[in-house]
Amino acid sequence: MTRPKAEWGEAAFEVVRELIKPEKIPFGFDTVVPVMQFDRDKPNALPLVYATALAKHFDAFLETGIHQINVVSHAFADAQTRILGQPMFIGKIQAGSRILIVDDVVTYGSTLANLRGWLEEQGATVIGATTLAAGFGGTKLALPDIVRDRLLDRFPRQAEAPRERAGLFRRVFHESGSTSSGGAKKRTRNATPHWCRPGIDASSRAPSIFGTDK
Amino acid sequence: MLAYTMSSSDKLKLPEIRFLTPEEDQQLTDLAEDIAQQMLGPDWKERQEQRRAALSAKNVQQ
Repeated sequence: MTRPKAEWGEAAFEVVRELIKPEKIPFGFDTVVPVMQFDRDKPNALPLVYATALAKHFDAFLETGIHQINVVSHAFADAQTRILGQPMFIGKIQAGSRILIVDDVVTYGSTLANLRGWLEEQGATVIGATTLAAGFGGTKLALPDIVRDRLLDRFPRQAEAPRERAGLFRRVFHESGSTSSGGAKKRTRNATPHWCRPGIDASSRAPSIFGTDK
Repeated sequence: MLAYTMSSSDKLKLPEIRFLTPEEDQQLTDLAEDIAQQMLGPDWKERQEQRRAALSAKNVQQ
């Protein structure tokens, strides 16, 4: 068995050191879950280094037993292609854990949503998610009100499906207010987008895809 | 009857998907351990286990 090459992590240390902003993560959690995945033919060290740094900073438990078991080539993929190539996860999480999901980049949010579903199906609560950078639109994942209302009017039963399949809740469709701390218009350094759910931590003023900033 | 034929430009581009091999899965674990040891110190595993036990006890109480 070959160990991972040391240099896989070295560049990630430099990137994380440059971009990490823990002061922008104001909500409370006890467990950090990195997106542990392969990027083509090698492990992606960025989420691991970022998550480890946050676990150290916040004195939280670092969960390294949740792995993405498939390798999906998402780079430059359109939305339809991404729907066909959903990330899948394995690994157990302690029920009752209050989790911060950590990834390197958010684009359409499918990895974060699928991982959240996997964790919440096991009885954990995902308090929020943070990434080092965001693709275009990645910091505005909540539906516009008009689209949300039309979907609920036309497909009220189908709107419940994400709850059963991905651990999402109907209020995802009911609450708006996603904004970006970085205001990213394209893949942006220092975007540090993160989101939290309403009612979990009243002190939170973080931008939210799951709740409201109002 | 509704008939619909996809033109070549309509066809969905299938994503490239494959599953991790056991060796690749182990590489993920090894890399996480190497990074944790480097950033959290050599005794990180023991401290993580203590933290896991404390979390488990807290969650059982709740």
